[in-house]
Amino acid sequence: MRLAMAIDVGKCIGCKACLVACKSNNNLPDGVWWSRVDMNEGQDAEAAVGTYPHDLSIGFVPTTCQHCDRAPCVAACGTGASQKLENGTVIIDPELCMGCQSCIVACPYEVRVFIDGAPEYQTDFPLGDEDAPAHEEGKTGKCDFCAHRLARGAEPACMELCLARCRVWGDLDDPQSDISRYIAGKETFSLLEEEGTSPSTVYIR
Amino acid sequence: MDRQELNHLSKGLSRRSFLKGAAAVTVAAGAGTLLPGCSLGQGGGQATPGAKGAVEEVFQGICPGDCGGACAMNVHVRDGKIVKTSKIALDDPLMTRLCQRGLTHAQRVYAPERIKYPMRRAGERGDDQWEQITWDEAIEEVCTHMKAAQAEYGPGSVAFFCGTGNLGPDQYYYARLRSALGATNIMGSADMNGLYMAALMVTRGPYLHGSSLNSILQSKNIFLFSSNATTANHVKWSYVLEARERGAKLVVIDPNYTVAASKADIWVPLRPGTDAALYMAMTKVIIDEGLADTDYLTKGTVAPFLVKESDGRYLRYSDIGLAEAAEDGAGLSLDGAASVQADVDDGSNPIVVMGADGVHGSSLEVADPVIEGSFEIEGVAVKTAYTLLQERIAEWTVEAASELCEVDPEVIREVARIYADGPTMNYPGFGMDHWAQGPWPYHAMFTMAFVAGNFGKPGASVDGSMQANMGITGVNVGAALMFEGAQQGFTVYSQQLGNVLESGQWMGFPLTVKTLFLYMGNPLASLSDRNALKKFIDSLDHFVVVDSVMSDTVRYADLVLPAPHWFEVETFLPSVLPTVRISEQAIPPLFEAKSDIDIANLLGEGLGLGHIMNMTADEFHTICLDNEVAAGLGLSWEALREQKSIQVLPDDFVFGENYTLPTPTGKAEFYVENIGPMIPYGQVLDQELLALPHWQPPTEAWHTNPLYEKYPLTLITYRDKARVNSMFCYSPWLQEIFPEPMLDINPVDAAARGIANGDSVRIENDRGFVVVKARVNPAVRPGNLWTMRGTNQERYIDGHYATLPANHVNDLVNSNSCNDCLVQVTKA
Repeated sequence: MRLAMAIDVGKCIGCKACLVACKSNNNLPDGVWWSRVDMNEGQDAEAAVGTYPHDLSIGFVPTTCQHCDRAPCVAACGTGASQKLENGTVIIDPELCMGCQSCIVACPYEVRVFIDGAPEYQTDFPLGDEDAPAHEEGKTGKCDFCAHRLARGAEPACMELCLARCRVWGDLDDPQSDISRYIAGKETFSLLEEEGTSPSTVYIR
Repeated sequence: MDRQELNHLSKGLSRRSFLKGAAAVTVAAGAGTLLPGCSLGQGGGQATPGAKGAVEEVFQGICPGDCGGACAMNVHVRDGKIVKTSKIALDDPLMTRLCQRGLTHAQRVYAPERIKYPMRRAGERGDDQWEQITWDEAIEEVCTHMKAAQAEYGPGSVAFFCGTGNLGPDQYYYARLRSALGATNIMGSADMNGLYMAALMVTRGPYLHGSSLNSILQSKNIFLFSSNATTANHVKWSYVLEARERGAKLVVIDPNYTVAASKADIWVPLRPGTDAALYMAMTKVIIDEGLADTDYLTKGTVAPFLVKESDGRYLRYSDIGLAEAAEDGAGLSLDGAASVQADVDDGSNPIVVMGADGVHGSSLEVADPVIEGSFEIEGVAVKTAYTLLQERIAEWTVEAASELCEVDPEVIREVARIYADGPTMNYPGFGMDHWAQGPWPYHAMFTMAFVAGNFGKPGASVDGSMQANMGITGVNVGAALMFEGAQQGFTVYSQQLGNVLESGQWMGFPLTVKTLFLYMGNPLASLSDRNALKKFIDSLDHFVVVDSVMSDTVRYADLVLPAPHWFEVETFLPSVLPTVRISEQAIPPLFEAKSDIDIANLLGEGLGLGHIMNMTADEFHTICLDNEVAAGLGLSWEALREQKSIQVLPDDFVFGENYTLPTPTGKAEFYVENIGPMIPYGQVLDQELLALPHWQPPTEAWHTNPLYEKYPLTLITYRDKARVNSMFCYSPWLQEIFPEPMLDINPVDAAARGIANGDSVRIENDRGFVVVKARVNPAVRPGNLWTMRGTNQERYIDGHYATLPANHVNDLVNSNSCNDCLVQVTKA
């Protein structure tokens, strides 16, 4: 089994509903985000690149943990907290995480977040999924494909609703899965292919 | 809410045409059907065990915010607290929707900015200093001021102002109080240029219109007309995507390179304020190249109707001695006293057409009328409406339009041909609406649609910001306004408040507003010319605002009343979608908040109107859904509470199908006979000019304006992703991922002013200024600026955006014209 997500960036409109779904359902503390939307050429958020009117482009690249097959974070983790599971997801076991942040240094995608200080929230009661992960001071967290949701047979929160329908989810090892059928015959690419991380996240132009 | 307000008011005035339309829809819809997917609504506070075994209740909530999406969602409650919102998966996956803002409702409910109890101003207006008072004290204070004002200055001195912050029906219960008082209705008019023009051309009553959402899946082409559809309307973008998957071509006409433009097959970057000219040139290409749909023109439009050269009116039987003359009508109008629809074609005095055999006769009888030509009938010189149209647009050659619109002639020809090769979906936004001359591009756009036959057919209708079917689906939000002793007070455009203040008059009658009661809106942040509005408020004896969270307008009030969040009361949403849905009460109102119904009743009692203001929310919602049309659809409040969602339009509903529209003529009216203003206040309309499409230069933002020397940049606005006007502006989540308000400026204009990316810049004109950070962005057309509108003061470095645009209006309809605005920008 190789759980993965395909993101059709040609469709993405940059609404960031996926980010808010991740943030809210995982009850992430203030300032903590496990996903983001990069711009196609690294320009300022919401800006285009090029020259008006005939040489312009604007594109959004939703980015989160790539759940790499050759995950540098797993290699860098000294305690075994960062793990590649059999279902293909990369997780951090909070019990084992010492907060050394070596995984953050190792990850080229900059998608791991260290919780520095007591987590703060707008409300004094937890929002989001009742079984959302705990977020503890001094530990590192990141996208785990919403392991708590997967455990009860649900999809990751960012799949809650992609308004541009550009996210497709499933098991890459299953040819009949949504993701396998979606990417079949399409040209795909990975982020930072030169890093040799072999990400599970698949992008489509 | 102005759109619905107009809808229900106009209904009473043009009742015949409304009922005609409603009946047609009822027949088309047949018996109301329960949306199959609604069972997935998980509503009714169904208790489901949470993952950890705790009880989680799930309710159906509707977001009634003014994006118009009216999205239904699951509202999750644990331990009496709203903890999250999630999508309701519908049978139609394209309809399943919940946006980045809708996901933040829990934060809105528990925002620190929530208004917890009634408050009286403690400092000067705008100081944000407050004293907590009891509800009894608050109600007494409001009523005392209202009574004193009416005793001294008459009924109109008390004014009500409803914003667009809640598309639900409960605002009309305040309108019941207003009618009981004969008070003035201030209409914060926005988006009305296009909507009113469309109402004149295709409905004359029911306000928004369009076919079912999935009609677009049958479109061969989709034309976005000044629509920032991936931002302002993005919960519907799934349909555009699916249509494109099925092969539809996407053409985007917009001055700026929007995200939607980046997805288009063809993007037509035109000069702002010239849309009408482009559409007329496209229409001329379509006609000149023989691409016009003569079948649709003949059967579905006013093209064959003969127009008298003497007065621009249709030739009717009464003109040639075959019938009695009807009483003259004054068009669709909001003014209760003035107008009736006397020109409705009921068959007694038909319009005359010329048959192909050269024999004239009734338009109701001649089967094969000609659509072109000039004739003399019984000594009366006439032309067909279509001939008049062709004469009108003759000046808009491709070359003329190319020069004005700054679009390549070949591009104009190409997109005209694509457009004519339908079915093409017309997908307008409100970008071209937000100009003083905002109605005319819609006149030209609808006319082009009629000429090309891109209307009233599967895949060819009006979508985008104008797609909805309020008013023809059995929801009568005006039901509570019909009672013994109801008094129709003045309706005053917010754009005219400065004139009212200065002249002490409205429509020739004395009017001095002394107290203002404002609800569901934040006009100081959302409308134009904030300083003028402040000046008006400054003139008041008492200014009351009802809201659930603090805002610029709340901070300027004398007295504030706490309203609940939307999910703290039970109500329903009229059909923006083809479905009417209940919005359930997930939790009781927090703090001391009271529902709008309760507040209106308390005020009624305090004003001695307890015998009128005595309905429960249940009773009010019941009468809104108690009418013949609703009954035919199986829609009632009782049924809605039981079923949660009731579909009132069929999935394959086509608006204007079979060549029939609910207009006075029953046809698509590119020729608007006897055009009347939305609200008459003494305007004299140029009937000849306005009967047919035309272009005129923007009132302010045009290079021939002397102001252009000093202020050479046109400030165009958008609604950004983090807010709906000022709603949601306090969500910490959205604030963390979306930039503060910025100024987008083309690199050429930035360089000329020494402005670098990220610099603080001052945008100013004679009316006001704002300081924001600059984002140097080549998506912006040179000579133009682009910024978001509608947020609260604290989001700006200094000043406020809303001080910049003016209240420029046209005589047909006043509406927010924020894009018609010249400014200069300098490094701050």
